[in-house]
Amino acid sequence: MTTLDPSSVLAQRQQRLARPTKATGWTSWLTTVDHKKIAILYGSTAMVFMVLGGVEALLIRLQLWRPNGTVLTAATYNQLFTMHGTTMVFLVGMPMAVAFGNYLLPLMIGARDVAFPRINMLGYWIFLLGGVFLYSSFFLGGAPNGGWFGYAPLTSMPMARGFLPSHGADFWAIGLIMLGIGSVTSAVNFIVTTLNMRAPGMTLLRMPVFVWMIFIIAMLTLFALPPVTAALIQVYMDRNFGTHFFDAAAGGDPLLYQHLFWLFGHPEVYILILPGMGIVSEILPVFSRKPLFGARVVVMSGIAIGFVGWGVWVHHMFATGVGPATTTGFGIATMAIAVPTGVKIFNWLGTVWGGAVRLTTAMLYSLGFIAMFTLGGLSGVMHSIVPSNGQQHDTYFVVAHFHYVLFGGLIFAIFGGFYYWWPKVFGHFLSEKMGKVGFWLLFVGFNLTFFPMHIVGLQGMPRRTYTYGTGHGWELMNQLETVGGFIIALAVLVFIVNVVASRKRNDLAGADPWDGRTLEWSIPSPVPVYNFLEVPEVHAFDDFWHRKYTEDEEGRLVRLPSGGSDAGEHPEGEHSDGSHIHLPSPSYWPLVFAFGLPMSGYGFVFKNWWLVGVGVAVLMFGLTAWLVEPDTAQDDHS
Amino acid sequence: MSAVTADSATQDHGHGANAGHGQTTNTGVSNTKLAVWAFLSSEALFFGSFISTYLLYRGRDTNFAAAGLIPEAYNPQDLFNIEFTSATSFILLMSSLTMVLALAALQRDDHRRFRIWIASTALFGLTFIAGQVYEFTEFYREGLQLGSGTFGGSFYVMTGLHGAHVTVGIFWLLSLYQRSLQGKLGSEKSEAVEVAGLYWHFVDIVWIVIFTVVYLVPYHK
Amino acid sequence: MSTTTDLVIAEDHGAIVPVSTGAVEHAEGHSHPGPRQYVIIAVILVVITAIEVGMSYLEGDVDSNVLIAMLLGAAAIKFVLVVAWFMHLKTDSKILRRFFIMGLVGAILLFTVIFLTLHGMQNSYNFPTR
Repeated sequence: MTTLDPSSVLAQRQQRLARPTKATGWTSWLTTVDHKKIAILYGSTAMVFMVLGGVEALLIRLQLWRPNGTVLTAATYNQLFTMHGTTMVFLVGMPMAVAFGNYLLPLMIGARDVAFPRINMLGYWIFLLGGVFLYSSFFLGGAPNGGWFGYAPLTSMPMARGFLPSHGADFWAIGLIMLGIGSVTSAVNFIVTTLNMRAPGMTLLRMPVFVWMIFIIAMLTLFALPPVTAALIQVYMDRNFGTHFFDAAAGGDPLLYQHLFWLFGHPEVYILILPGMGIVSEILPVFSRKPLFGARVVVMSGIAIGFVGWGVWVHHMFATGVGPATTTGFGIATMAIAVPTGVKIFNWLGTVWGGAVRLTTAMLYSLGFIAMFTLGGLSGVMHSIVPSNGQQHDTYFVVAHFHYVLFGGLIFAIFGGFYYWWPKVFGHFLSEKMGKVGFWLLFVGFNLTFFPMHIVGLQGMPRRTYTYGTGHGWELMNQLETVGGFIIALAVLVFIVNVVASRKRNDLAGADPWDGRTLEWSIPSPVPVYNFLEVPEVHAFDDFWHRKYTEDEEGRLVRLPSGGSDAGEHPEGEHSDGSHIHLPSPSYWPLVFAFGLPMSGYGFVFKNWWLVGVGVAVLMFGLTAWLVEPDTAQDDHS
Repeated sequence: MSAVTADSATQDHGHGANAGHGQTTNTGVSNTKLAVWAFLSSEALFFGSFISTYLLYRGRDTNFAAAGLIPEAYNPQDLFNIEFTSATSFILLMSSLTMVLALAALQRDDHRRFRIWIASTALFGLTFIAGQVYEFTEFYREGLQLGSGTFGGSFYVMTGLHGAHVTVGIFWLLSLYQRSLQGKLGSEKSEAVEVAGLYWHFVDIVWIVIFTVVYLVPYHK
Repeated sequence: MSTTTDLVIAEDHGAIVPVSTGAVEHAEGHSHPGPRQYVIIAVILVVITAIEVGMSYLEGDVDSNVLIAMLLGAAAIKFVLVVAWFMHLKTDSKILRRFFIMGLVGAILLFTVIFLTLHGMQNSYNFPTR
């Protein structure tokens, strides 16, 4: 075995395979450990997956354009809605949060990088390769087709028994386990970074709300992913090794799967939405020129949502007949979670109220977020009423609800975040004009697509149905939805055009274009590789704002003459080029390590144990090389 | 990693705890250790899921076999060889002792003893795994398969995943042994051993739970 | 042993330099128990295990609920001993303790709820009789 005595071999090999040093060019993107570059990789990859998931959604909408549609076969349709959900949750929502978190978390707390830069890169590679692994299933006998939550025993019955006669469900189970490993690594990284790497004076309660939200979702991820990983392993074993975890005929309990899945699945909902709440909590104060109303309450509400979010998972299972005591308890908990959520909505409104509002694109998206998320939240509370839940269960009403929360909420916030932080990340503005056109297109398209789903849902149209007959009166609504879907696609297209055009126009932004409040605006745009020349000392919540402004006797804002941005001005001395700041060195090994996962993944799917072995060997090789490699090339033997 | 930068090293360290080496963090706990503990608390839910699955299905096969729904129910107590498993559990428990002794030796810069203890830890782990392989083989020979009711699957998968964790731990320990041989593991790097130890003890406490709950607690007939 | 100094924790004050320590150095700070204590703990663990195994032979002689309670109690003591002494949670930073307890309590609570839910349903199973 090469694994037993690898270090000496590696030591020799490492001399030949010199440590990557390039900081520019495309190869630097393969080996970078800079949290900002990794964030851009996360964001752009997630954007590609968003387009893929969007195309799947459009195909679904085309199929449902008219009754008895024939655009897709039922089999293809199943694959598309499964992959649409899986993509949007695991390959768009979560990675987008990691993208924003990666870029902003160190900047907002005054750190030079995250706690574990190489593990950070590993997380990205696992995400990318895991996504490619899942999508490769389309060419390897059929994509996952059991729904994004893959209910057992539908997914867990062996292929030969014919429930889902393709490797799709195996790809799904193995792929999600893989992506879960990546998510847990980035969660651990964010937790340690937040707790350990704050600048002097940056106490927990002085942290920006966005940082808090990222911290909370990292905690949720840490504790939510193990149960679903266990469930996925059990599904895989049931499918391939004849165990009976979820086979009711042999004593297995399908409801156990639902418990384990939703034990993850419901916190997952908050994992998806809390970053969005964090983003708007940063944008609204800046464009209202007011501090976030009750910032501490917003943080506490976030924590409350994080905790109560663990006590509501059974509301996804009310229709299974879990019994009156259980439904009552979980119904009440579900209603209770609306309280901290509602508190936040009033906090945001209170922030905008009476402020000097600037209706920039980012602000429009944030306001859109509040409105759409409130609607989604209201239909969400409706689910907590058990009898009504039974009526709505698995209808398009539910589809409408979670799209209002996750699209109207998360995606709106993400676009708002793009327009807000684009100048910081790339140094130039996105076009506001195109941005506003894009916003209104998205707003109209979104509501046109998803609002009618409430109606057809209450009229009884089941979700995941591949077609519907005539005479239900659903035709008009479905046609509106399809038109809306294409308007959304147009809005996304406008955004992509905007990105390209703005890059060409290169309308330089400067360090602090929006008169920001948090630390990232105190440093140049785009951010230099070392982030902060001098590690900032923090004295207050919204510290950067207080460096720029003070209040006169009547409480009016007065700009401090010397305060504010020191970005661009290089102080005299040895640090003026940042060359004395030690930064983590690039590394190949996260990439090598990550490659082992899909390799053994394919082995598990096709039960090719040689491939599994090779994958594990690659994994071990990458890991060992990683462990013997020092963090910084300079620090060798220190 | 961004070690200590010239400007941050001159800053006030405050709060006393762990001020040496410039490895100061906000919490006073090193990043690595915090990360490992966070990971272990996540693992607690992972094993919790499998142990709960096992407990949920515990004894269920008897009912299903009595009703004729599955061909045969295996009574765990007839299969288990408590003396044998007690012995391997004892060995795993002792490996936790040798693990802490290894750490203590390294912190004293006693490299010879460190290597002895770390090697014995790995060896004890290996013995445990050998015992598990033997046990699985025996059970399989007596007819217990992955597909034997719900007991077969839930037992093999739970204990098998635990065994996989032990195996990973053995490789980890061996890599530490190797680094010590190369003279790259001084007492200043004892945290590398400490976190490996945390993982190892965690795997041990999981077995403490499994051993009691699965093997010792009586099954109703 | 200066265990009291170990309890000085620089938590949540934040006035500390942000420095990353992905590298595995940093050994000082919390003085761990010495080999003597480790051996004593190990002896206690062995004794408890022996008692446990002995107890398992009492099946049938003792009320099984009492037996189960005793066995679980013994396992809990072993668990706590290993975590507190071998994993140094007794003397290490509070934040680590909070993390682990959070994971543990979370796991126990959540799975208890699942049990209550599923067992409630299992009682209503109607097995066909032949």
